[in-house]
Amino acid sequence: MANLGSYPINVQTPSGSSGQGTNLIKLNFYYTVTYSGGDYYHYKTNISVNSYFMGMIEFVGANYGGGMIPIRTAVCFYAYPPSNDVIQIGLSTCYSDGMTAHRVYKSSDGYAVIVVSTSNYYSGWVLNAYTANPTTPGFDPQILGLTQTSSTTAVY
Amino acid sequence: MADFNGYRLKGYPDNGGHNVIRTLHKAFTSDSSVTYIHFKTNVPIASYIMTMIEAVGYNYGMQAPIRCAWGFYTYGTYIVTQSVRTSAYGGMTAHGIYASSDNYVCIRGYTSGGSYFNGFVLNGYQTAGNGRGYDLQITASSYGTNSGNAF
Repeated sequence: MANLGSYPINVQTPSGSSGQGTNLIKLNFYYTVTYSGGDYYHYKTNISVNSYFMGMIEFVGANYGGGMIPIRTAVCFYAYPPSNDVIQIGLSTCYSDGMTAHRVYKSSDGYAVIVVSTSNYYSGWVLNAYTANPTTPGFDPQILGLTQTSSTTAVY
Repeated sequence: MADFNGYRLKGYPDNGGHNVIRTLHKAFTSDSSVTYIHFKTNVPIASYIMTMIEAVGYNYGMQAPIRCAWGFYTYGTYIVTQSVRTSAYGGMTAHGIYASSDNYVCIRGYTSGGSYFNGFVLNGYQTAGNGRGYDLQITASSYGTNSGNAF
């Protein structure tokens, strides 16, 4: 990992986003900035494949190395115990060329890992989580580890 | 057009700055003839600040939501890098970025179908490598048909 900054930061929950005692939107729960290294970022989450987590995690920021392109990219998935895996995976990019969502895979110890790519040069973004789906409303996603590489090959 | 009651999210521990500024500005017009909307920022081109600004809202007259964005980097004497992107939402297009006559960064949006009850907020993201923590603000706005520079 070369010259990469990543931080779990204070969760920001806007007023009015609570539902039935749970916070369904978590803004800025993790921040990443990069100045060099590989273009692929593997985020290991605390979401176990046995958790029934159903939700969306979004990356928002700017890709300077690609031409100061806005970033808004999302992944969604369901951590489904009967399959012992993540299923129904969705990968979407709002702004072309800003950041690409590549895959979500299960780590060797059973957690969801998200892979995205963007320029490694002076780019930075925050992560938001939306946990409004009925199986795990208010789930508290966290990033347990981040590895910067040059491919989508599993690293966790 | 007054600034909205936004809030600034601290997110970068090394300088105590704010990397996300939500509801930086509220914009609204009911004038259907308005096709170009300009915002002047407080980012001087005589700076080294990477900024992404995103508009989110609803253009009633065009029957479409809005989500589009501008990215720029000021590099001492000019805007060295810039990009505009518009999502699949069609309510407004991120149309351009330019320097005002007094050398501040301005952004321009375009609504092909006018702006009859067009309302949106601007969010600011200073997440990239330079300029985190800058106190981003919108200092002026202009609504009309000017596809060039309004400031």
